[in-house]
Amino acid sequence: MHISVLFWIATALVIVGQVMILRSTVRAIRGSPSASARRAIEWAYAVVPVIVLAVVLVSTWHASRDRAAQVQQGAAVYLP
Amino acid sequence: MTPSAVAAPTDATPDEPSLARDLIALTKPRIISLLLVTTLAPMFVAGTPSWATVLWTGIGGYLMAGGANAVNMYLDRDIDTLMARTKLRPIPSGRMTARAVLAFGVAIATAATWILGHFVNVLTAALALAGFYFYVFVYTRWLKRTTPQNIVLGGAAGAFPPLVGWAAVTGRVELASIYLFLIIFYWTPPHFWALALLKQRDYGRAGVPMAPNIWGEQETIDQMLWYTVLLLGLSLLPVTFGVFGLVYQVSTLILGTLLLWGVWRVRARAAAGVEWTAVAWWVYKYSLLYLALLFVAMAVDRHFFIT
Repeated sequence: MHISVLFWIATALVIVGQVMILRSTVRAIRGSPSASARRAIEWAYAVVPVIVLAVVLVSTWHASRDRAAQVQQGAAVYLP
Repeated sequence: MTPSAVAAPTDATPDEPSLARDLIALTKPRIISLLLVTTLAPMFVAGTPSWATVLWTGIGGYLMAGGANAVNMYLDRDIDTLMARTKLRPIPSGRMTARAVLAFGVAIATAATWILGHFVNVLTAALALAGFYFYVFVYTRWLKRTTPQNIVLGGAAGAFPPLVGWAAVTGRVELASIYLFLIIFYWTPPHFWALALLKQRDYGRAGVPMAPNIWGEQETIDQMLWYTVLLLGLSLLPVTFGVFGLVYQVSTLILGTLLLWGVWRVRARAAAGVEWTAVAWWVYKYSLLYLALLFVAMAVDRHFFIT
């Protein structure tokens, strides 16, 4: 399978999964009888992994692009 | 639906209690065996480590994780008496004093720091110690009793071993090792919530706000499903920048699809009002096998099939 095709399929799974997790967490937080300060903290807990994941996905996109270019040029395979 | 009395794991309960057995039980050896797989396999992904490096990293990793588990038992001694799963641990059963358990945990974690720093490298020791502090202070002291997302963020504590193993070989933290960290991070919720679904009464009695107790079963099972979808995509991404090849890719697809199928069955049965606890128990057990086999596949693929 072409690298870029695999990248976008995998990324789509990650994004769909994360969006649905966020959606479910928001539903759960809204449905709980917690105070607003507590809800804000729960929101923060839910958002932290999203930010980390976004940074890693951008880094992966760059690394995948570099690798695809190397493969096309017949250069040595990038092994981190 | 109320979970039935599915046979769930209890911590090591020796037939004939002895100090040596209790000390080993404090380290939670069954949990550490998986941590060791996720520490040592990445070493063979990162490069070709010497056997001495593998040995010292394994010993240091065991002692650090064992120390964290012992300190966790010290901090959780009040609720361990309330849960069937934990009431036979050395402190609640009265076989060891709390102070002795704390001293043991701190002592072996200190020894681990010295071993890793002296025989491996400073970054490896620092990462292992960071995992210790995260587990003890961030998960056990802060998150565990305050939020139903406790094991989501707390899952980071169990995700340190690949960073430790990778740093032991390369002396660095790299994108590939961050992926191994994230794979464990996102594997933790479907794994641990499968058990939490079965142990709701225990957690409720102890006042630990696990997701099934606070959000309800359906919301928890939904999240397990989406975490598994995310995990499947995430575990494929390292292939795209050349870390792994076809053997790992095929293994990931087979192992991940099986996990997804298990979680889907729990969801479908719960939605239909049919008994689902046996399937949840299967998901819990299979998820352990899933992680071990995934990491073995990484090492095999990188070591034997990618040159």
